[in-house]
Amino acid sequence: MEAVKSLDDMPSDVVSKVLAFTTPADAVRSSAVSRLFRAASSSDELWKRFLPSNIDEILPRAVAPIEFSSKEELFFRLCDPILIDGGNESFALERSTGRNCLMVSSRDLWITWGGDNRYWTFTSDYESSWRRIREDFNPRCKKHRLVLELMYLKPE
Amino acid sequence: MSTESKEILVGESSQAKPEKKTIVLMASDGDEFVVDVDDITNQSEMIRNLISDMGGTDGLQVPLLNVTAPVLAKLLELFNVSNKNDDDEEVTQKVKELMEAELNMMIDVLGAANYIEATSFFDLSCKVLADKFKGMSVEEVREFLNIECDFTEEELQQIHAENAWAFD
Repeated sequence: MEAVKSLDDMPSDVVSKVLAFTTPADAVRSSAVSRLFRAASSSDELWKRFLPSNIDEILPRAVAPIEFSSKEELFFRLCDPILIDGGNESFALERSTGRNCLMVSSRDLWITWGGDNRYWTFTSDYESSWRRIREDFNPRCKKHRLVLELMYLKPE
Repeated sequence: MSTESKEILVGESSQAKPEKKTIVLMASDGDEFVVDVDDITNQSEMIRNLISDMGGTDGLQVPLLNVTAPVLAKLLELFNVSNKNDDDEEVTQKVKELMEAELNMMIDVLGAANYIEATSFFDLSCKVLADKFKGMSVEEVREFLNIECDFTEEELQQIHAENAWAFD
């Protein structure tokens, strides 16, 4: 009878490659499986897979430079939204899945009657990362308000 | 285990087409496997590079020191399925069946595929394993993959505390 084998007998980079087909949440959870899994679950190769493929284009657009010492650290740094493109947009990653979340300033949106002060105006809101947001007066514009609420960022 | 050559039939029959080029793969226990050059180079980057370095396939014997005969036979069987089908559906199904029936063998095959740099087959097998344990709890992963926990209770608590969100 041959000795019982398991994935734990594999080199750590093989385990990393398997984990790359799971999700960030699965990878983090697997760090508690064994020492080999913990090593495999923090490899740069693995977290590169969870980062957006255009990450090298996104980082130079950040308003404040993003510092990181590993791909895993960069991933979790980006789970807190960063401002990009002169502060008109913000970018974040969803922690469990690695999905991208892009928020656009209302200044950059084309909104029906957006320039008509009878319906919309820019106001200040200290809870928003952008100093000015659009606010609608018209109850019939509920739909637009919902769109705008997506653009709020939680305060620190 | 006998040391006589085993003919791995590829497509209809490689014997019926003597013009087909073959090479010999030697398993770690000395068994020899005659394989079609096109079929093996289609899968293995290592063998593709070896043939190009050697400048040909004449009388080429490739010793695979890390791969036993049963594992090599299973790997070649799965390569055949992969080579015969344009899409990955059939071979994915076979790898899945192997994982459910003989996880040890599946993991050996995965290691062998990694060793001979059969990249697309290796990735496909990794994905089959990953799909199986996606969403599993830590205990379920350990049980499924037959892994002993080698952390102390303290270390485990620390890992959980640092990443509480992932364990909810």
